[in-house]
Amino acid sequence: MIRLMQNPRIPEGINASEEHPLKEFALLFVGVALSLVLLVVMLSVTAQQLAPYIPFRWEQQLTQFDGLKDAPWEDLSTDRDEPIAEPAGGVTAAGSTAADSTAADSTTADAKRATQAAEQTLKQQAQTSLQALVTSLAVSMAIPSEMSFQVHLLDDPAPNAFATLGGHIFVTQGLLAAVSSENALAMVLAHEMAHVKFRHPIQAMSRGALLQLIITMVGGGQGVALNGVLGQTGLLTLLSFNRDMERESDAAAMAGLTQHYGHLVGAEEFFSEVLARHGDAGWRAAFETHPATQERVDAITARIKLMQTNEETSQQLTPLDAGLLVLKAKSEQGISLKHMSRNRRNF
Amino acid sequence: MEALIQLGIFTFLLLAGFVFGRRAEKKHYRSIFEREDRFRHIVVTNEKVPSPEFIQHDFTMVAGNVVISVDYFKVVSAGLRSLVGGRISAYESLLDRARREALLRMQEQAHARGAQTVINTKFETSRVSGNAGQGIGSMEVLAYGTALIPSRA
Repeated sequence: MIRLMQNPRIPEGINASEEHPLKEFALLFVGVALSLVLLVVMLSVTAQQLAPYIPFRWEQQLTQFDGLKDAPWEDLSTDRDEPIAEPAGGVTAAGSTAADSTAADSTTADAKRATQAAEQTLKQQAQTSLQALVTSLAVSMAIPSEMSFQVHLLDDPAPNAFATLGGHIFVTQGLLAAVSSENALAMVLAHEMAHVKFRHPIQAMSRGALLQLIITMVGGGQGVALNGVLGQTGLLTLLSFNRDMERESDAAAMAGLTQHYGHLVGAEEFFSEVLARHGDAGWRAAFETHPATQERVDAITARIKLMQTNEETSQQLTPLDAGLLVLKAKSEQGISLKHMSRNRRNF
Repeated sequence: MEALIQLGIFTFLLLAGFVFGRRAEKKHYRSIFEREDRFRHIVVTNEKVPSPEFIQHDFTMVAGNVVISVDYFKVVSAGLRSLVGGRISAYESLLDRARREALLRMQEQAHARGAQTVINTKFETSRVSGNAGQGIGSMEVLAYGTALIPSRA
């Protein structure tokens, strides 16, 4: 055997590719992105088509909890459908527990509980009024009989409203403070009811669940890097309602309001107010799920004009229900304009 | 908005990984070429039994080890590759560098001892940071062999 006197010079490019890494990356990135987008679009469309066939009953079961205390929104709101006995002495047991503590303590505690109880009653009344309004609107909006709505009043001072699975509609106290007539409130409520009627929440949830599944499947092996970029960008924005859904709901809400009040006057009030307070989203509009506020106001006013030429009806604004007015007056005191400039909106 | 920030962070990491990783790789290869030429006379083989002419030589074990970190760009590139299959060239160059660097360090050690050749060379590899789960991994190679040194006696 001949002994090597020198290590041989081995040609480069055998064990490591000499191709520019960016070229490979670009090719992979575009290919994977395109196929993912295709898959996502296909699944979204499928989910949207099939979701309305899920019985509404299942939605309701999904959002039913043993006692409202366990409900996830219990953290956000202070509303309760029925008084819940608390160890510290709730609304009903306030008097008896106070007697046990010292006199000084009990008077302040008593006063506190009394105001709390009063507030609770106010909210209860407001919620009952809201529920009544929703029930009467449901008739005008031709809501299928198997659907039912539950209105929840949230403590949030920012004007907002949203609908979720199982016909649950959430309204903030800020919204009550921002409207001056029942018509404006009814417009927002009808809009949320239309979401439920068209099964938008279950569509969004089905789509979201499918997308989550894809993300987990695709990113499963590769962890953070891929999961991060897939999960955080773009895809998540698909989880909420899209603009078409919002427009559809706006249209249905207008039809329902016309049916209910005979006119649309006052319906645009809330949107106009939002617009006046902090304008449109501007460049952010591209990322927003809702149509531009201006566009929505315009759509409503156009409808009003159209109807005014057609028929002559008494176009009176309906005042807010008494149960709502008290709470409205109360919330208005504590609400400053700065809450109106919050960006996050669901209505 | 949060999505945009996330995307920005991701792009920044990717860019930083690419720029610095690429610079480090180029620099490393230049150094490898230069040193391979310098140590070409220390022959490295994997034969287990030395040639008869080395019978009288002293012998000692020499080893070289190296750990090279993967950069973010390579991780993402490999992640994309794992979806479609094929050779992960981003990691291949890393393994190539690590293997050659480990050999060079072994040769350097042999050179310091005045050896002429290294026989019975073996490689080992392990993953120090790989078990961290989702973190960025690293490439680790250990090369060792028997250096044959002309005896002074």
